[in-house]
Amino acid sequence: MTPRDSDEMELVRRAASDSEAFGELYNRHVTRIYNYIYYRTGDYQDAEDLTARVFQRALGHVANFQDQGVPFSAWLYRIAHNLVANWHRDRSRRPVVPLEDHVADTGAVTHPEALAMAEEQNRILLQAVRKLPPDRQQLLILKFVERLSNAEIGQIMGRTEGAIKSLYHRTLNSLRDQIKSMDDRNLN
Amino acid sequence: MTANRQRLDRKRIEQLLEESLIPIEPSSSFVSDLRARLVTVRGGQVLSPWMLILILASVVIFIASVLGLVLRVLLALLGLVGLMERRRRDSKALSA
Repeated sequence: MTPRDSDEMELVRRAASDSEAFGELYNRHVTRIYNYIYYRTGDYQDAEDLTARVFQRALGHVANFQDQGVPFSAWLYRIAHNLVANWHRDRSRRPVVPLEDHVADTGAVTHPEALAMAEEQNRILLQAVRKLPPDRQQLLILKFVERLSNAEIGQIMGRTEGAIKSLYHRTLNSLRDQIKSMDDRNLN
Repeated sequence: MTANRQRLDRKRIEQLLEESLIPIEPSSSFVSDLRARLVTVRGGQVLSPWMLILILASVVIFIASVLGLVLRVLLALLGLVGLMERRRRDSKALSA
């Protein structure tokens, strides 16, 4: 366990009764949880709403958190994962208008036509990512948004490093197939 | 992607993912408002339900003890008054 991990566990222990300790944990993790939820839902408002619910739930149950060698962030991601799953279930019962307004700024594209192409490419890719099973989406978000190593992702997702490598390989393959089929549909 | 139909190999997909999946900063007002709300909720939750039950039980036991003590003191005072009254009557009867 690194000094940062033990410091975090100390904070978690204190957070059960000390609001400042919980506030510190919140400061450390709010952005990453928000990012995770945003890329799973594709909506800023829902990302804010669900992030708030993740931390409210964490606040209510932090006293029950048990240190089993898994980082506190893994626990938060699990809460977020469950809430996002409920959110998708609720939405599937209602008519949904997909919203894909997020455009990554690569910093290099300035020409309007090139910009439009980059937006289209980004839209297709994010659509394809959101069609993947939840665990694969989580893997991609942790790897590319959070820049975590396979070992760290494994800790969060409760899998071995080897299993994460293999899942990543399968994820890229299915993402490629997904993009190809979306491309074909767009051309037809 | 669609325009030039370039071959989507592993490297190309990883490059596209790196360009698209970038960290997003939540609005600072959302972050600070939520923090304030969480800390306030915790402030309002100083008493857990078990603590509340313990405090209520202690208060009830304390009140019962005080009432018992007051009752005993009153009975003792009444007994004392009765005793003094009887002594006064006995001394009156003796002098008569």
